Amino acid sequence: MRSVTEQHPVELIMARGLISNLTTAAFLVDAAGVLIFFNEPAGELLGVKYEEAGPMEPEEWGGRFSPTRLDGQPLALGELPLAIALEGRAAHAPMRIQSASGEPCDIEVTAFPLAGREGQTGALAIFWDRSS
Amino acid sequence: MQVRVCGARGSLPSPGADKVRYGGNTSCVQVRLSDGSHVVLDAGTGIRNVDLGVEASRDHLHLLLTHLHLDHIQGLLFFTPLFQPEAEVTVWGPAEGRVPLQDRISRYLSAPLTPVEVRELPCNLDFRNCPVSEWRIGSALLRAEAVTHRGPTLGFRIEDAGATLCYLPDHEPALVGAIDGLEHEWLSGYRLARAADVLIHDAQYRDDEYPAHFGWGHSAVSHALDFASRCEAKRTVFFHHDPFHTDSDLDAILDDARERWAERGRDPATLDLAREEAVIAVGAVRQV
Repeated sequence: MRSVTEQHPVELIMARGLISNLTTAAFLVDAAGVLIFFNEPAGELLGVKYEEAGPMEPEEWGGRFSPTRLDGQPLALGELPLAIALEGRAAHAPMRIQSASGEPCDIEVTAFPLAGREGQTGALAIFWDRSS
Repeated sequence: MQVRVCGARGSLPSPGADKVRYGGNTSCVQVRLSDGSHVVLDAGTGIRNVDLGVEASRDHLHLLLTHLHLDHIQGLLFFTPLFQPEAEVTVWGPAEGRVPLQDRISRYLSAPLTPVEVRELPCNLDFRNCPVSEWRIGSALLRAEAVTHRGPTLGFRIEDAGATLCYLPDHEPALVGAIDGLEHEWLSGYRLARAADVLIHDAQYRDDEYPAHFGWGHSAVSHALDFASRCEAKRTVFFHHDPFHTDSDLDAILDDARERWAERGRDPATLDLAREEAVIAVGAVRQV
């Protein structure tokens, strides 16, 4: 009975609608960790629009920013707030990333799981610029 | 499969001399499956018009609620099988957190709002959250999915004997962006409505009324047309008429919508407005 076209659950559809209108960078992943949308401010950080980049596997988005702790120590993929949120827990962490321009940027990331009637269907992360 | 519209009005019952042809009762649709069993969709005040017949009243009855807004449950105490000790009734609805469906419905079916409480109903009654996966009722295969509306709200897809009905009475797919600009994967309700023989869909507002009601969970006519077109429904029936819209208002909405439907290269005869007591054969493009 499932359609040949996979439609996202409504909570992801609504989340995309929300973050499309945010002026802070935000990222949306599905339950498998695939990055299925990011908004324009996030695109500015990445140096690419979502419409051009398309979906990204966790390994790709996890390394795209070269995230480290604020002291420069490396951060493993599983330590990233979005990865923690995919395990069903909210997470918040400061980190340093490399923006698309190559400049280091200190941010704080808040991530939380998205769950609907089908259980957890994804997670959402918002990047807060510590300098602003 | 045969559909009978028992109530097509949205938001509030709206009887009156100027609302006779489309009717003033709120959402309720009776579906007769190919095996003769019945499914009732929503329990608005139109539920008084449900006609189960003598034989069907002995069957296990299934009442499917899209959501618990008052215009979809206000008729519950007028569903006659609930007062028949021999009747078996299952009420299906959306899950919401950890509060059981019965408890949520009991907020309405209890003092001081109603004289009778759920525990006093003499029928064999049970309440179930709609499953996440497909399930069967009689000869039909059903699927429920959450759609864009305020609060937990389901749409239903019912497949029976090769025909498909999609019921989306309260739905605002344009809430997250222009429907034409959304890929299928981001279009709420798409999987439920895709290629349905009959799509019953929210079209509460004229386009000029919609901006003042953005985010209320309902569609403008143009959104309903866009959605039906994207889903390639074979026949579309607009539903959940605004309580302020008179028969002549709705006639004008239908004329305008059919004209726009024809401009898209569609057959205007495949577009209609739900009228109370209308009977629609699903799988055949004719009105009985």
